[in-house]
Amino acid sequence: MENTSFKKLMKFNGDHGQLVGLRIINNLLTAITLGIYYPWARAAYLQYIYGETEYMGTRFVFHGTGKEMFIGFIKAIGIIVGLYIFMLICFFSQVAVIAILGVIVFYIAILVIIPIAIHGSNKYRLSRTSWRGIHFGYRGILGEFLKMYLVEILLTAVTFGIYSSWMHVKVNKYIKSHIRFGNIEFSFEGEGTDLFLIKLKGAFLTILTLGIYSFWYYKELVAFELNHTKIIQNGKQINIRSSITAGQIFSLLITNYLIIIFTLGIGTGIAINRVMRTAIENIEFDTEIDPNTLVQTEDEYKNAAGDDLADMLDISII
Amino acid sequence: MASQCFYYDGLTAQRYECTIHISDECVYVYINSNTNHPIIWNRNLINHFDLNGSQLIIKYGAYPHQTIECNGEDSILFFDQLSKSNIVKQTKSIWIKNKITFAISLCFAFVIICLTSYFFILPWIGEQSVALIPKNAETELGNSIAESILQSSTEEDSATYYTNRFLSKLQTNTSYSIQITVIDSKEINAFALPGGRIFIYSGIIKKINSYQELVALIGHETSHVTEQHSLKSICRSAASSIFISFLFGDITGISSGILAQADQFKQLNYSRELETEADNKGFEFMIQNKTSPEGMVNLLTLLKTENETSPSYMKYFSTHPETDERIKNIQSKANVSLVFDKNEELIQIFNKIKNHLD
Repeated sequence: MENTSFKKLMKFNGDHGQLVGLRIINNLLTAITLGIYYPWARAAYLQYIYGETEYMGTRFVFHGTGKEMFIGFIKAIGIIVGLYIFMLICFFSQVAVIAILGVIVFYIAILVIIPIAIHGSNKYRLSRTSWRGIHFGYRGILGEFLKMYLVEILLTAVTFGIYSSWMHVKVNKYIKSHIRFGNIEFSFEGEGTDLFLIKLKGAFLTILTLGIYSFWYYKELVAFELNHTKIIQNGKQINIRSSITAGQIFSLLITNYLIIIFTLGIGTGIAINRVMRTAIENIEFDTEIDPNTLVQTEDEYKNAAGDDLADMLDISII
Repeated sequence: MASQCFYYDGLTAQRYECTIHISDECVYVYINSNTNHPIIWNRNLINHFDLNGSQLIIKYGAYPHQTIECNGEDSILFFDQLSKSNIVKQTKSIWIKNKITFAISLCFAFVIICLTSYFFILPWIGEQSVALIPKNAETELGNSIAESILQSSTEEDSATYYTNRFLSKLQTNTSYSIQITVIDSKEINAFALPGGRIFIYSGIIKKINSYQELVALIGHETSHVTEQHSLKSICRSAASSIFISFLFGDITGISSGILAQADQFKQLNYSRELETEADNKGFEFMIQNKTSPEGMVNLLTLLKTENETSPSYMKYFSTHPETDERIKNIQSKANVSLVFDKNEELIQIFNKIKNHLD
């Protein structure tokens, strides 16, 4: 193995005081405004997270604004509330067939909304993120992604979840291969079988070791994601590697847990900073990208509805 | 540390170190490698500027924007200079400047709101919501708690029978149907459940010397039932715990356990208020049933003696107010020295209860 050729090029500069303060202000304003401030809070939080992350000495910038997120938030709420109202109307129609159909349509709609949310969130988040003035972008096509996602979900369901590893890889491949960063492309080269074996081994050993193995399991999952992600610039491939250790994960989780408990939740910001630092600073690259040949290619995209939907459905994106 | 600014043209990721100068109409961007020909930005066309932590970001023109990113001391100064213009409205500058005052006053307001909700508004709502609970639901709740108590303890059947007979000779003035169960236990205690079930430990009956004390005890517990004290406690604590889990939504497990414990201490204080109320109503109950109120003083004195023999740390957790205070409260009442004729029927039943427990 050529260990020496990998370099740590990313850094997380998060400051504990700043994030704790930001979270206090965000939570207070959200509470006082009965939730209306939430989109602005989320924008401020994302601006902080992206802004404190740097690659080759330059920080990322998140351009999303509270106003965009608020508009998206309203649309997302509209969709979810609309669905609930539809289901309730069917339910109270007191006609058994309509009631059952209503529930079925509701669940199918939720199933369809998930990939729409993932798609929209990727488009918005990536488009609103830049580095040295160059914007990221997501070129996935909704119809294509939706079709693939639903087929994969169906396969996962009929195999009682066994297929989920293959599904994860396939979705990951689609998303990563459609991410652009200027003229830089990405790809994911993991295989479902490998992920399945990691999960199988993880499940068995975690039970056998009464949970102790879970830290190694987690390390393997992170390594699977990163080591198979490739960056391609001008036809040249850049490899990524995870250097995180099970020990790091262990001490991170334990200390974070204690920090959160003993600060009665106020220190959650410190815990988030620590997670971000460990996650970011353990990504290693075998070569740097060439900023001088990196050119702007992506269009602007300001619709945050998908991102807000994903947030409501608790789907985490990047 | 001096500030460091970088200019990006929006077309490539080429990074140009630069210095900037902000005038009333323009921003002059001097690329360090070519200071003779500054890039001039018309301030009207500045798309957006913002402070992200200590990093200043200025975006210029249409997408893809030209960008300047500044780090270090001067970025806040530049931000202020840009904010002074009316061209780009930046509400943020108001609270960036008074950040600390803003944060502190916000925290202060929030803490006040939280404390008022926790100590006054929510318990009040919880207590008011008791009125919405139908009586049969209350009885059902009490019965199911009673059942689970009976599964882990033995009932004294005959004592239960005679205590209920004793009760039937008293005038209770309550819409609840009161049902007493005597339980075999050395503990000196009794408690009331929602809906009318009262549990009395055999330990306390054994220590009681007169029927008046039993009337006092039943009067006290009946008041708990009539005034819906346990239901009020449950609703108050439910309201508080919902609030706590809302406030600390993102933590589960141990921390909420700790918080639940802390919450118990508040309930303890609330119980003290309720005990005093039950004492007062129990006192009225005795007068109404023509029983000398001295019985209540004796009952409380008995509790006090028993308390003193129990380990001292227990006192801290006791839900009954300092027994001395309770005794004083009863003794301060105008008609505490009233003496009624003895009720022979009650004496007889009382003796039967005692006999069955000896």
